[in-house]
Amino acid sequence: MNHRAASRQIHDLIRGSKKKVRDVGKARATWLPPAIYPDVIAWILERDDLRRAIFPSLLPPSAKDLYRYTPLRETTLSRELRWVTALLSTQAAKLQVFMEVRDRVTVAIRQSDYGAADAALIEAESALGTSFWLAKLRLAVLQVGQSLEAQKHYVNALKRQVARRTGATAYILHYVSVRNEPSVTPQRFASQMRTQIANIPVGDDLRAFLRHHITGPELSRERAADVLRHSASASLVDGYEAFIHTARLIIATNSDDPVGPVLSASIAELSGVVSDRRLIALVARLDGDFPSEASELDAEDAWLRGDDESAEAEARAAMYAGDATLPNVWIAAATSRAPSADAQPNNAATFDKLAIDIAAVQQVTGDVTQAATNIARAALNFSGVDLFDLPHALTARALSPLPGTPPRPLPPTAEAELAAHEQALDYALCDKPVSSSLTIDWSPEEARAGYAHALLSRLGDGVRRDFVRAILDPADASSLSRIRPELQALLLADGAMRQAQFDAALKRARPLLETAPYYRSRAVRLVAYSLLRLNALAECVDVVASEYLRNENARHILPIRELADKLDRYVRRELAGRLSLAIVFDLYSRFVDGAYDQYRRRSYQDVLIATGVTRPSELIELSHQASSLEFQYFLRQLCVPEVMYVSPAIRGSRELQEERIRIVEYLLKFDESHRQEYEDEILARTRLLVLQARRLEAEQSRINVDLDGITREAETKYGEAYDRYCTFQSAGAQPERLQAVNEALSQVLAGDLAPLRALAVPADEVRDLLASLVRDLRDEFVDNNRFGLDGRLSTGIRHGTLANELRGPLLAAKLITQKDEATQQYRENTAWTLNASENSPGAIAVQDALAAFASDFDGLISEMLTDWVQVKREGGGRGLIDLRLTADQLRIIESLVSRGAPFDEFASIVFNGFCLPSLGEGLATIRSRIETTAKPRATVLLGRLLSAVEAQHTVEFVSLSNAIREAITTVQRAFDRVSSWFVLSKDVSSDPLPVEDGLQIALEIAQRVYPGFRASISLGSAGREQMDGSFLPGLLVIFLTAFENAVKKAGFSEPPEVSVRADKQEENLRFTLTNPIHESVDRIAAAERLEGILAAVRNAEYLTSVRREGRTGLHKIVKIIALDFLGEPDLRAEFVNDREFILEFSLPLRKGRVERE
Amino acid sequence: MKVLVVEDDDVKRYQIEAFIRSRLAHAVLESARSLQSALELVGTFNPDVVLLDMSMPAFDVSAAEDGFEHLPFAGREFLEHLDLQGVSPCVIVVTSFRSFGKGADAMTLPQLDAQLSTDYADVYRGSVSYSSIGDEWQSHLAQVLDSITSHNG
Repeated sequence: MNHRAASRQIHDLIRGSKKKVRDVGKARATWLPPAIYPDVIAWILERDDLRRAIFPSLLPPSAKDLYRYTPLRETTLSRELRWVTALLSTQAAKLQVFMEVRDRVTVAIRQSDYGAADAALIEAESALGTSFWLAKLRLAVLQVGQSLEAQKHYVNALKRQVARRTGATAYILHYVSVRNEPSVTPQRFASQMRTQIANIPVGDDLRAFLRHHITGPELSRERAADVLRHSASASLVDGYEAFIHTARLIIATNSDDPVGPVLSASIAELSGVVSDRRLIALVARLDGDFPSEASELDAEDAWLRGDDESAEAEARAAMYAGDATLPNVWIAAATSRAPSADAQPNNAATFDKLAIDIAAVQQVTGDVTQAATNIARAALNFSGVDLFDLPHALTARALSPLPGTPPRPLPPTAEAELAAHEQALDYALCDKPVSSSLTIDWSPEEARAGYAHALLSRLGDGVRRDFVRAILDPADASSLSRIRPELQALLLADGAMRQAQFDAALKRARPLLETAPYYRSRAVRLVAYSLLRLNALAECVDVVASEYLRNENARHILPIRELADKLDRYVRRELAGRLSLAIVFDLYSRFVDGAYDQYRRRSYQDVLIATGVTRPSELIELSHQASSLEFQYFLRQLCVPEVMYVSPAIRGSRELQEERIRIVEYLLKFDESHRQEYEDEILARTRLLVLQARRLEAEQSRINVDLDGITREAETKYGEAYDRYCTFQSAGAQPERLQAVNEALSQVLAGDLAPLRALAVPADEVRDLLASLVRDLRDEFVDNNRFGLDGRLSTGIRHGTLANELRGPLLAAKLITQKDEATQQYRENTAWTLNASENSPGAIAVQDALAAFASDFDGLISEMLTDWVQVKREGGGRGLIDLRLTADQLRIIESLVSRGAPFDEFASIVFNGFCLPSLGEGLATIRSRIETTAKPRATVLLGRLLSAVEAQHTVEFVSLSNAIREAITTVQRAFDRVSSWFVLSKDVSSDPLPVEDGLQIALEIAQRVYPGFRASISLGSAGREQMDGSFLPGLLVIFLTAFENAVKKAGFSEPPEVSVRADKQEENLRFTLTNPIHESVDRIAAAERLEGILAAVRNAEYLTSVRREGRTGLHKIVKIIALDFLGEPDLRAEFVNDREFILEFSLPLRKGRVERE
Repeated sequence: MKVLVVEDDDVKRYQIEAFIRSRLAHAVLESARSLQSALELVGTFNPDVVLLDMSMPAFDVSAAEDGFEHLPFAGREFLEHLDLQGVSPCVIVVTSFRSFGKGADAMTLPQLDAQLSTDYADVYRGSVSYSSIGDEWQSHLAQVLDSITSHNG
């Protein structure tokens, strides 16, 4: 089709089209010859209706119109470039205005005149409308020049203009505002945003556009056309800036790109109508030329000659005179001393601040990480002007273990890193003419010779010319003589490195280790890397360790990854026992990844063996090593529990912690620089040990019966009956019979029950009375509302606790779900089938298997609770705690009760001679049943689930299979923990317990049984109050019950966060717990239920209600407060603010009161 | 023959022990439930064969001991320790997992098998995939054991 026919056809098509954007987009992407794009665009722009339809937002009057319209259909990069070029060419006058504003803004920012920059941007807005370029720069300018409030005020005003605040415009503006916040770290921000954007359900083209504007220029060739297309539809200014970006990207990624000729023609076309220095430089690069210009750089001359004093003076003078170009800033940095990124005055000029940061980077000293962050932040937030992209690219190269351009081959990670450095440098340099000889040193390998020759053609005789020649050929001695000696050595070393002459590089670089930090830092890198490439691994290990110990920032420039990769089995054996080897593996674990953690531990063991000790605390005896930095590092970083557990001499977690405490106590004496860190660590680990001991003690105190309390209450009830028994006993006593009983008893105590059975004891009223009394006391032992066994079993074990402990590992592994509070049905377990094909047979089968497993597992728990953890008495009933009174037991009791013994002695005989031993046997039976029945059954259930999942034979469920396999042992350990509860309670320590420690233990247990549970505990000074340590079990029950209530009743699928506050009120602490309530919870019905519970509490029904499992936990809480703490159950529970639940109660700190009446 | 079974899954350990008893009537058996108890038994029991789980806690778990950490490559640590000590029982990894570890250290069973074969060639005799339901692992384990006994004469 010839051009005239094509023009007619597109005109007709557009005129008759009802969907003009779609049809134009399709035509330009398919059949419309690019040669007539300019005519077509001009024709469209001449017609208002068409312009409004197809190019509606070239100059958006407000944010509402910015990127408001659908971009044209996607096409090839070549066609996109030609289309955008044609469009931009029609807007030359506007673009010229933009160029002038852009230059003014750039100069103003360089001089830190943010007021002028903002004024220029406001002016630009009135002339050109808004744009992402403008909004992003204004946000940065307002943040730096005014305040966070100012930039937030501005972004909120913009967002208000955007009709649909959920669109791409609002999204970009919001996150650009976020990235400007001073607390945001650009690297982390970019990483998080890339992940977030990857998960937005939009096309890859829009994702690339979002990334380009939020996380910085999109340096991927793959989506270049999309970024250009979307930007061009946002505004004229954004389209133009995206065009420049595309050109830089293509040059930086591949000079032979097939789109090069099209791009070259496009730039040439634009440069004919727009006066932009960048266009001239770019077209030169695309044509194979390297743009350069002559300039006087006195500072550079002085510095290259070695005259630092003049260099610094000249550089600063030039900067303050308005020439704050990077070479001057670089030289000001190189000649400064002791840079400190955190000591920057707020009012320092941009170039002053940049010089301080660059100095830290050059010298790899001070807070170099902060300096790199400052530079990255400036590069990201001011990406609209080109002031910081080159410093940013140079920072990345400077803080790398790769020395400049190392010879190939390189390992893949190093190759990728080098490519990224080269690309970023070329991207930063390619749109500017070179004028500084330093630029030649900075340029990427491929462009270096081109730039060097271009610059040489402009340089007369002088040291700058020498420097450029020396970069090209360091072996040319004639070029070196006028250059300062340190730079000569660096040039020679760099040149040797490029030629793979590692011995020569090493020889040249070594003397520089004794020079100023600027040269030394580069020498360190050259030395370490040369040793690595020479396979002088032992020396390289020593150098890396010692350089790190000398300057921790050196980790950025030491080849830790490549070195560790080379330390194979044979090298490790050869170097076994060296502290430096252990340090290198530790550095790898800390700064690279965990792939060599095993070698870190092995190298630790090798050091112990080489030193002849079995545990690190024995090293302390070797005091002659105390001042050695390597030795201190070894103790500080490697003698930690995560490594020391491999020492056979250390036999458990507690010993591990104690060993570490000993080491840190020792370090405290010798390493003053880490004093605070050590003191904090000792405190934290000591507290951990105390908490562990307290937790264990509390967890094994679940089955406690207050015999004194029961005795007191029983005496009131049965004292009279016992008196009757005593009277009968006295009346019917026979000395001969007593003697026979005593003899039988001595044999019984020796283990032989036969003599007791032989005693012919007639049934009589005395014995009947005794039996009745013993059963009454036994029942009191079991049923007493305040102190009895069954209440303890209920509150401590049956009422959710056992089930939660056993379900915890399964919840964590997502193999089971909670039941919905309202329906009592399991919530659907979609954790493993979300990504499976919906309703696929595999997904359905897995869902069914998970549901069956959940039901079976809970069935097992239910059986344990209803058939095992129950007390069996005469008259039937289930339970493994058999407290039926046998004739033998009765005879023993009868024989032990001396005539006229007081009631408490009698009660003691019944409890200690019958109830407690029988309880002990019952608990042992439960433990045995858990080991022999419950644990194997649970394992079988998991095995069955595993086999159902594996029967699907699909990779979709590999993670699920592994989760089940892991759960087998974690569930077994949960059964072991539960088993350990079934022991008679030991006495709980009454040592004072800080309240915050008690809550910490409760929180840790809650997190074990409710994976993902969170509580924000802010106790203030109340947390440091100490309570009687024997309150701990009760405290745990109260808080775990309250947390459980929140988890199960708040209506969320994941545990809600509970906030806990405490206030001291005289001798009590008043706790307030608050948690959100999901909207699905029927608040009115819940409030009614709550009112009923509170009424029951007021009526003291809690004394009986908890024994009936399934009732609310509030009863349990009140009961514990009343009976364990002897406190007033002044509970407040209510729904507030519509969607919050608040629970308040008071606990006494000490056992101040005697028994309540 | 002295056989050490290193396994923290109680049921799996019982099954392996029962299999060994049925297969090697005169075998003397010991068992360990954690890395450290296994290391201790290497010194005191001096096993000829070790049937080794790969993932287990550092210490025996009890009410008072949380095991410190569940180590995805505890078996590899064990082999490293044998290397350190210079002792050489025949080691067979018996695992129900098909992949191990996370992040940079993640690997599949074949990858792990290859690594162990290279790094611990003196002692490592291969891996057996265990399943609590099927019994293919038994015949596989029997084969490996036979090869060990025939090799040892």
